[in-house]
Amino acid sequence: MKSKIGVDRRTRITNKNNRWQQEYQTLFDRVPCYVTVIDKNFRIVRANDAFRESFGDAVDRNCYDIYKRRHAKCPNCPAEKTFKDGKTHRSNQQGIGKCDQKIHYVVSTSALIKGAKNINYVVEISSDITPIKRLEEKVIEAKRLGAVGQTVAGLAHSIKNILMGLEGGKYIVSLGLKKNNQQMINQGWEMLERNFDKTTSLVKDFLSFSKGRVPELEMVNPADLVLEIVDLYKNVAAQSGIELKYEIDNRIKQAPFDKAGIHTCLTNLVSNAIDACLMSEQKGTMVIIRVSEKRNKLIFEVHDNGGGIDYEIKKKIFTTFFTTKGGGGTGLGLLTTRKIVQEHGGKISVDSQKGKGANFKMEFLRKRLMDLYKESKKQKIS
Amino acid sequence: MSLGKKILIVDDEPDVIAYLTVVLESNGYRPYSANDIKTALRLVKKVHPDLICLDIVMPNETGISFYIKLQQEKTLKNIPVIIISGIIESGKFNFRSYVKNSSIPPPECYIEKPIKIENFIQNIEKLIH
Repeated sequence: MKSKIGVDRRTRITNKNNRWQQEYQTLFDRVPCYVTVIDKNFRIVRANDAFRESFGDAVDRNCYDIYKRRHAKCPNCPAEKTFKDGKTHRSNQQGIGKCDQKIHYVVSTSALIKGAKNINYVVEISSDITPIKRLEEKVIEAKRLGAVGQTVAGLAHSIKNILMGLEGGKYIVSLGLKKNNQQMINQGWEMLERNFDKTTSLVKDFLSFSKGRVPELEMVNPADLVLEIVDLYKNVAAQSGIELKYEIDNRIKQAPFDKAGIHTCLTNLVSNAIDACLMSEQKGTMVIIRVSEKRNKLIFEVHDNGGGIDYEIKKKIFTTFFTTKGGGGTGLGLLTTRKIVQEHGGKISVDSQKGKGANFKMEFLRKRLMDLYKESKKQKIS
Repeated sequence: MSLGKKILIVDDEPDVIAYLTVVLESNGYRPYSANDIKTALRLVKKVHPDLICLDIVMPNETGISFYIKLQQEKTLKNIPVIIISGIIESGKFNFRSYVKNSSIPPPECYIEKPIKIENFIQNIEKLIH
């Protein structure tokens, strides 16, 4: 009797265990994310249905092979970190599905047995974020198209103004000829010349703005970049009665920059600052160019004590084809500057109030510059 | 009829001012000009022109903001205004997308840059009797 009871109990326990096992298996397979268990050799020992559906049969293959079709483990592998420290690690990754489709996922790795001394297995749980990435890409594309639309509208506006100047020049010259008025002929001719020059500037600026080039980074001394600009503008500033000063932190070491690109940025900012001083009614105007490094951030600043910029204009200057210089500007200088700064992984900002001058700041993280530099060197070699 | 009438040109572009000045003078008008809104406001009160040619995109303050200010002044709001701008397309301009306040009437006429002189003068004739 005793043994029969024991057998019944064992059977009940076995049945219960089987049921739990089935339930866990169902949960493991149906959970809406990819779950794999990998051993110390990064070999997959278990994978759930969701994973198999997207990546194909996985058991006994290496995770880097099936996730990314690599022949060796991935750099900064979160699973490797978990094997080392037993902690949970997360990272964003991009893999290739079984139908060659791109899959973006967030992977979280943790030890299969919590608190174990030796970690032999790691669980990788990944959430497919491809739809979110696609949405992000669509938003970026929509913004890009919006910016293109704005740029084209701005370009059309600039061209119409130039056409108006050319029409005007033509009209005044022909009226001068009709009236035999030399002064009028000269006035009209000057207008024609000016507007032809504007066309050249506009085309040049627009081409430089539209170039989608990768910056050509080389190790340069940021102080030298500033000194070059001071040299270039000292006469123009002096002739206009503007004091041009510079402040250089001599402790700054070399950093990778696209020399021509930063030269263009500083040229745009300094010429804008000089124009702001010229337009201002204030006496004792000055422009200061600064370069410094704070917390591994390289900072170029162009400061002026001219007329300053009001809030409405400040909102537009980096985003639209915008000029406050009447016939003197194409409205592309700051757009081009922002583009070059962004190509360096940096950011540009302005601090200004109407009537109180302006301070334009370009900031670059040294680490980001170095990463870009290493990447560009690798690309050159390959 | 309209000879000698005063016309104020408001535009930040010196060449546009020079061009319109010559066109208006050679058609018998007396042009005045301002290259920013501050000067335009001062001049409009001083000269009290018979018509205003107004650009939209200008530094610091736009032509629209000047137009709204005109409409808020009893003595100035009846001066006819021709908007002359590069942002006008085929004589069309969505004034209400800039000015939501329906109590401010739209300007009398829109002309796209570059202007056609005949059309420009005809519109002025129509507005100044």
